[in-house]
Amino acid sequence: MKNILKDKIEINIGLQHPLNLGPIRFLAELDGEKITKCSAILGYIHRGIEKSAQNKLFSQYLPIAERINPIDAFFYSQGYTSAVEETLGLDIPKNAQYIRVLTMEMSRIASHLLWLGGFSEILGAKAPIFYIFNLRNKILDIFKKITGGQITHNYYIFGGVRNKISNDILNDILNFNKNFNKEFKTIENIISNNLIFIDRTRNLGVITSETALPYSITGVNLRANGLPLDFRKEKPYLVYNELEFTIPTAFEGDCFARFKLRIDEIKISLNLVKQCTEWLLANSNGAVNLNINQIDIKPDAKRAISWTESARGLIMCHIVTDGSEKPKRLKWRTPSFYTIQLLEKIAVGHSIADLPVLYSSLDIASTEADR
Amino acid sequence: MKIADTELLQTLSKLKKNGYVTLIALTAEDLSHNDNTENEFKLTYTLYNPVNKEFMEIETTTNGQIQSISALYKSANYDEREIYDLFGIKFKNHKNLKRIFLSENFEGHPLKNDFTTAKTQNIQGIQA
Repeated sequence: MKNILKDKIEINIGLQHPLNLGPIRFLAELDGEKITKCSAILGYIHRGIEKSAQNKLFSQYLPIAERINPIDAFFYSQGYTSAVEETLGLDIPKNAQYIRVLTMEMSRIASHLLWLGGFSEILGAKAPIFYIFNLRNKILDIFKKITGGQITHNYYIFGGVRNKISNDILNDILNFNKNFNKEFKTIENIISNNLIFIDRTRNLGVITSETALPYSITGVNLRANGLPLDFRKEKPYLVYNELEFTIPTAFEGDCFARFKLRIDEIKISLNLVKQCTEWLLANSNGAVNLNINQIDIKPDAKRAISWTESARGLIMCHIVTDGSEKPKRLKWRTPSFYTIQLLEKIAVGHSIADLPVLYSSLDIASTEADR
Repeated sequence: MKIADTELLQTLSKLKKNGYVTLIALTAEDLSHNDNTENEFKLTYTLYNPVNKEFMEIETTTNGQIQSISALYKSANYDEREIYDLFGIKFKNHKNLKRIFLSENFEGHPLKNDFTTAKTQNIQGIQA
């Protein structure tokens, strides 16, 4: 009889998994419990988002761009609108720039909170997710007040944003900002002081910058290895060069470092939200858009690239126009597409039980990778 | 910077030695016209140097076959598979050049200019 223990076995992880933000399948080759080979199979949520741009007016594509990854909706809107604005040669009003930074930073907090809830849950801490979602819902409620939608907003338009934020809502944001730390501290303590959590995440899935750079890793996953690469500082867009903030880094490069770093980023973003809200309260009379006809967008034959630092890393929108009312070519660079490749590499040598932890710690969204 | 497709590997390996260790993105564009049967694609390699914090764009044109750079830049593995899938450009010496998003049974390459969306395809079976 064949000794089955000596044979390597192949197992499927996914297509659906409770921690997945979208469908993705992994094929793991196991030697006992150790992973010897891991490959990802993409394409289950491929919607042809780059192709559909070629058949649509510039304004018709606005809501589609957000749906690349609805969790990061504002970042994708920013990537698309700013690339088109560059081809049109538009400079958007100061107020609109502050509103965009404000909403994007709140979205970053919401995204990191969602990640934190999922990450602690797969490690067995079942309670924190309820508190975290409570907190996240407060942000989504503010989004609803501003834009009318909680998840996808269709709020950014060419030349600014759709509508003003009233002073009442701005005061709500300030209140939320004030109370956030108190509530968040409790959650943070539950998780980060938990010995099981620390044991489970320390020294797990260590990535060095030598590994991360050739894999084109950006965002928190890169900064956890000591490289302070953040495109808000590197290639400042909107009003980021007028705001005060630092780029937190960690040096260990393991799952715990990535967890700590996301907590730090939440605090930095909170501060940015406060700065933007105060500025907007002091300058509430400015216009928030250029009042241009959204349907008559016809840029000359040009090429533009926009860079946006999203919650998961660098989003690049590369747009080529040919003088017609539709883009000739639109390319999205999405961070998770590259993180999945790195996961295929670092999963090797870990036990099968660690794969969900590694996957979650890298904050991969397959909706974004598949486009 | 514009280069010929034959100089691609040489130029990129030189740049990699000079610190451009990250391939931020690889973008393809179909330059051919619908009535023209000749394939012509433009490839843009966006490189990044984390030490000097500099970006570099390398542009090249190809008629559908070009050297793979996946041995130089690890991230190019998926990038090239994506471009093969959507444009049909073949990358020589790529170790695992197969479709990444679409099914292996899918006919045509959606982002090519001669692709028509009018035809529906019944795709059956999922590959491992």
